[in-house]
Amino acid sequence: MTVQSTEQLIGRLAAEVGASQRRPRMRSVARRLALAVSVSTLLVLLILLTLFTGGAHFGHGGRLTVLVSLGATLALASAASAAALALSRPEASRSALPVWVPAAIVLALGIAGELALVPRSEWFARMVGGSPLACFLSVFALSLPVLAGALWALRAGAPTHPRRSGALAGMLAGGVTAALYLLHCPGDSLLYTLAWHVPALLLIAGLGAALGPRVLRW
Amino acid sequence: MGKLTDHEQAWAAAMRAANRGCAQSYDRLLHEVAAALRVVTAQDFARRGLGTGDVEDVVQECLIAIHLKRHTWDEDRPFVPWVRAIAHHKMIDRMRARLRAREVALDGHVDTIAAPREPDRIPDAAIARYLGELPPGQRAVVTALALDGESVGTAARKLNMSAGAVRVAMHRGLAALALKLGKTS
Repeated sequence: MTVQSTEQLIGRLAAEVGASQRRPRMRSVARRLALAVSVSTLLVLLILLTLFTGGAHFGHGGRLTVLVSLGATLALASAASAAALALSRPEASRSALPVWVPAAIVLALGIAGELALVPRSEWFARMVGGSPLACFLSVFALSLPVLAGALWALRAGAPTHPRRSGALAGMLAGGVTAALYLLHCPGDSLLYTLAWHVPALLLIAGLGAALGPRVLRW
Repeated sequence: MGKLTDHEQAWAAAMRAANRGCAQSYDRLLHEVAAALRVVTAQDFARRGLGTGDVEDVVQECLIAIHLKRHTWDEDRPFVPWVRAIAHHKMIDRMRARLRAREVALDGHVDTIAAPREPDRIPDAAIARYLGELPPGQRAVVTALALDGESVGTAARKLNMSAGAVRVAMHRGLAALALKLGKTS
């Protein structure tokens, strides 16, 4: 390419700016992410309500274990979305604190409380629970639309650490989906959450990290 | 790179004006940024022992990226680090593409490298194949403008895109094609 063609390119880009009505703002990426997550969340909710009818829909909402799990998953989802948005600016560097720390603290405190209250002989049974594999696979599968939505939204940004951005999209998706799934299947135990939800979450974060460099190219 | 930061105030002001639709400020800004990036990129390539033949391509890719991603610059933050991050991203991209091209070139073709070359003529089949590999939007635009010889306005109306979007897609499509074709020759 030549300097002359650069001149022409600049002329065209400037003309476009002169003609544009809306002021470009970073907020547009945030808005897109909010839209993508709400639409995909609604979809997941719809799937849960129509296909996963065997569970205890919302029935056990008040239980303490559910509240702790909800707190941890939502803490993860909100931290991940904030970090993913921050990383949509090209010059952003990785944050010092990993996004999963608050969620891990909430979950660890809850588990410590559970272990203190429940006799040792019951620990294993609580961890394995009723239908562990179904839960693991469901959380993973239901995360996929949210992951797709989050990645789509992040494409509007300019991430220069696409692997990390992809992983954050995965954590956002996993956190949101795990929270929704709790409404369908409120595990009786945080050990169960640790043993089955957390691996599903790691898997979806890993998938996001693997997809990031391809999907988030610009 | 110390030179870039000297422009901080002026460039940030120009970009703020551009965000409010001032084409002249944007034109001037892009000229200055292009000139600076030309120097920085050439220095960077030279420092890594790479040829500087495609510096202008990197400059253009940076300008297009600056344009398409200008909403990711927060007006309250410094402008130069933002530009530098974009330039760095594009430079790395180009280096990776070059490495890949070099691997393809050497892989199994060592015997033919020294052979006298026919004047460059790209077979139509290759063009068709690489055209097929472009994203659908770019493919449609390149086909309409370069092969069917339509005007930007016609193509824009036909493809239901803005004229600016057609131009950007054309530019990117051609750049991608050139890159792909360059790898095979």
